[in-house]
Amino acid sequence: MNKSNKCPFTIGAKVVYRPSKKGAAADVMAPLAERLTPGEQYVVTQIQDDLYVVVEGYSHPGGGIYWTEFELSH
Amino acid sequence: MRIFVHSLMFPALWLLMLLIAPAATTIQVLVVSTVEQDGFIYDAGSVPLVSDNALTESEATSLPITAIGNFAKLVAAKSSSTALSIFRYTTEGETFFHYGYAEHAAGFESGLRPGGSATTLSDLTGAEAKSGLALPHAAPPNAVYTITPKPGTLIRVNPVAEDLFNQPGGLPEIQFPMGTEPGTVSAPTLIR
Repeated sequence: MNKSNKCPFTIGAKVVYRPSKKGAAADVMAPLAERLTPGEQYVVTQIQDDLYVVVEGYSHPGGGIYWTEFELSH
Repeated sequence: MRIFVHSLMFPALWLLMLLIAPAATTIQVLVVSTVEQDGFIYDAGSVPLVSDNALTESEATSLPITAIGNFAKLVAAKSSSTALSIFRYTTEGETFFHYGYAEHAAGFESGLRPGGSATTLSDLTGAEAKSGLALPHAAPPNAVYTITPKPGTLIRVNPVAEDLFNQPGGLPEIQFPMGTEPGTVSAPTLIR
């Protein structure tokens, strides 16, 4: 398994959503309001199980997204 | 008419598409991000495979646009293991299962959207689906949707889902590059 480390981001960090092909495909059936925009910057509000990132305004029934789908914003 | 376009051929092919578009009743374009080698189209590091229901070389070369005929030999493979994946068209009576969230049911009424995915297994728990299909969300799927695509629907079959998102993968996954038509997806069935 790849990148099984804990999420390196902290709450309040600014991150950019950079989904993998698989990650983007997994959300294709979600309504637009529950999808993040690739390349857009978001603020981390919650980290679930040390692995899954929830960003500001995000309300998906699946909860957070695996942290490797984000990059720290500089 | 379906046309498969290699991503490296964009400028010339789009021009060609514009020229022939008025003569075609329906044109579907699928961008295949692959490389060509030995006359086959691959993902990186793959092994060629042609299944019974895939487009054959003769079908590919019979496409009306000869300039891209060679790129329509739909052979693809998984990049990081010995498992293979291939594009093909569905046949009568094939059924697939999308593991997702019941809250998204409204979005399925118009069919599976392009890029949507499914598997061939109908009896997974949410945890099994998350693990075996390597899904990226924290909460496992809470519902399964049955997909009965019309015959001739384009799918990409990957027999072994790649390990991703700290999940092992391993189950078969089916992608629908063009989606499915309205009425081809059932209402959700809740799963544990």
